[in-house]
Amino acid sequence: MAQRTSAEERTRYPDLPEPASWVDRYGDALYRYALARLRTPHEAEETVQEALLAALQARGTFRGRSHPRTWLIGILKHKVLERMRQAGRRPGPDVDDLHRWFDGRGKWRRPPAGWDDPAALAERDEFWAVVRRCLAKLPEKMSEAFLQRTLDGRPPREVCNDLRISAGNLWVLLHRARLRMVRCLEVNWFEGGNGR
Amino acid sequence: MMLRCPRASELISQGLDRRLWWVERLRLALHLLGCRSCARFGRAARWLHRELPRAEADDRLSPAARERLRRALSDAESRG
Repeated sequence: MAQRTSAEERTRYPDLPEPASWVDRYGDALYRYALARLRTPHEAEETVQEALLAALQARGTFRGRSHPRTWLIGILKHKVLERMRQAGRRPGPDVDDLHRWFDGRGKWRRPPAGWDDPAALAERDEFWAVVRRCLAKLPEKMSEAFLQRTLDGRPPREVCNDLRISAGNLWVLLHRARLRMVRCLEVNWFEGGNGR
Repeated sequence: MMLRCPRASELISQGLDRRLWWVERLRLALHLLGCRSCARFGRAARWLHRELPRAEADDRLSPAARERLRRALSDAESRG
């Protein structure tokens, strides 16, 4: 039974290609994953390299239960987490208390400002650098939920399965992530005088 | 009961991830009529949700980085 299952799975996913072709096939996907979660292109490249070398060591364990790309991203995921922890990015708190944003009467402590013409922002390269810095400040789990949902455009249910959380938890994580991102962009972009 | 800003901002966010009930949509719409702060948050959150994928659209390994990675892999492979 177990054997039949693995045979079926093997027919569904391609074999692991030769390591010499990994960079050309999967390099950009791995790099994008790392760059979205780490701070700089340099760190992203280093982490991709660590993951590729670890994958080389571990390639005997590839059983064809997932797509080679997914298998490589899984290895990269661990390397990225290691690096985030070294850099002092703590796993928690997952969720901010709403009092961080709203006072006792339910009013915004610092009402959102700016955003009058968001379309113009997208044309500025420096803006995307600020976006990246703000993403890098999100706590781990919140960041992962927000990146999977927004950057990767995955449906909420898939993100819940991947992170093993309920839909309610996901909504809270995404809400706090959006509050943080909006606030961070305001502080670092609009109030920095770039917005005009 | 009038919706207040914390719940309104939650509904704005959830509206990007699920279809809101009509009661929720109605209460949110009423709140937004009188609350410019939440309206602004909504504009910002929707914009982020829609445009963020562009943040990485151009992210590719540079040719130099690609070469470095290839070399690191082939070195490690030849060392066994």
